[in-house]
Amino acid sequence: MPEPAVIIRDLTVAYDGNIVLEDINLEVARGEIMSVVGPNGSGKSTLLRAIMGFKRPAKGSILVLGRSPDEIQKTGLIGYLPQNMNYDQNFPVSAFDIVAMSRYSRKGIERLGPEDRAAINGSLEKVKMQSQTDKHFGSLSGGQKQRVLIARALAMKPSILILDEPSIGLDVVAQDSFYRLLQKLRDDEGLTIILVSHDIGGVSGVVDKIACVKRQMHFYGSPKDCIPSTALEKTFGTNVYFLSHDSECGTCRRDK
Amino acid sequence: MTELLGMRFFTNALVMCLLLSFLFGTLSFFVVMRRMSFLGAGVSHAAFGGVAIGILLGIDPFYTSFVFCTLSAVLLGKLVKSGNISYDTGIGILFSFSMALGAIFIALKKKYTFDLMGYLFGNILGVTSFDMMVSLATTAVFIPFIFACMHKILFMTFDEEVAAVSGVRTGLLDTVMLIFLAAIIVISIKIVGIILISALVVLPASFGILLTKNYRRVIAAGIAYTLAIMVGGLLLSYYLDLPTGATIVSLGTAVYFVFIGLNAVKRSH
Repeated sequence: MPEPAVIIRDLTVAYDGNIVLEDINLEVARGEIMSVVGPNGSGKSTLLRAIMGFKRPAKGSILVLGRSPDEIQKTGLIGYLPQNMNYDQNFPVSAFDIVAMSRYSRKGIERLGPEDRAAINGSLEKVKMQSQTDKHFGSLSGGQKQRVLIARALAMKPSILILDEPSIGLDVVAQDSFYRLLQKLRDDEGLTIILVSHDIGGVSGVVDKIACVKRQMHFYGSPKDCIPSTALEKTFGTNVYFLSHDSECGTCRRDK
Repeated sequence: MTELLGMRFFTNALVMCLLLSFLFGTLSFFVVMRRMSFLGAGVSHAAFGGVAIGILLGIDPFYTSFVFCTLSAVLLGKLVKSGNISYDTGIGILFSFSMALGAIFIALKKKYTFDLMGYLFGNILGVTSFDMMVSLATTAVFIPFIFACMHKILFMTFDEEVAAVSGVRTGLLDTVMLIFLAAIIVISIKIVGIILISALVVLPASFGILLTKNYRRVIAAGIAYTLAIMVGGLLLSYYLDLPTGATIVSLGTAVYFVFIGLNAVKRSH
């Protein structure tokens, strides 16, 4: 049994003395998709930042692929898609340039070899953006930009893909296609994927594990298990109803 | 022209223009794209405090302004990174504090013989062989650095956090870039002047972006533009007997706005 990709024990994170996350415990197995859900300000993005080493825990420990978050930053084993998509529209780079950034990041001498070009073109193909490689990044639609940024993360050949609110700004069709892409990456490449979402209905049919977080962890398990209404109430402040869709839409259900 | 090229100070200034064109043309891209244009103004004004310390202590102002600018830029960078202060606030404070400090130090000196206007607005007569050698040395270090790290800096400029998690040593690169910014500003004080240097930090990349959406071409256009306005400004300032820095910056701004106009006309067709 391989070691889990991420192990978090008794994690507490605070900003200026205010506790944002408290006593979080979870393990993300290799090759599974795990989603952290919760309302705005619940600490979801903070959890990702702690995993990536941008926020030091006040208490507890985090191990990512057997290393500390500080160490994992230097390895380039994490592909990251940030929530903030407010890039400068005039930034003079093409889709290819964006994806190439990740290949340059760990090179001593900055020169792209055939292997790098194959990785860049292959990643653009995976996200179905191969016909847009020379397009100016700022001229692409929101969904296309997101695909290019995922291609950048994939070109690095990461072991873990971390996505912060990836469905924001995507219409229903683009969301569906995006979630299918994530499942394909998990199935074909064995990628471990951690994503943050406030849309519990959208992700619950796609992911293997779900973590309901609002300061504390109120549920952690398979979305196929019925999430207790008390956990949803503690996470979202009210007993929310949600429709869960799997990829075939065969098991729509309503949780009460 | 032949007569001009026979003058040592002019050939020194011309060589410095060539070197500074490469330095500003490249550096400007990363400063402008990181939306840190105001930093150029802050660091160049910090040079005034450094120059004044040199004058007060009787040390060559080049050394004191280099130390003062580098410390100011790096310290400001660290304070902003730590989240204690925003760039705008930090630069606003640094800007006025350095100028105030400079005014106090110069007042303390009472009697001085240096060319204050030359420091503030540039004077090619002040350019020495030493200045040229320092520019040459800075360029000799800057070129290999940019060739070795350009794409990592590009990644950091586009998306700092993702670059960091992808293995780019963003903290180190940021510090090195700030040191280069301080060095390039200090070596260009004599030609352009403290008050006007920030224009050379902003204009080259802003001009390049008007022409192309390819970062390599933006940098190349920025270098060519800086060379054209520096050499053009230098010649104009000599023949019209005008302050060098002011002439370079006025010419650069005029060219920039002409191209904005041409772009608007092109778009309307």
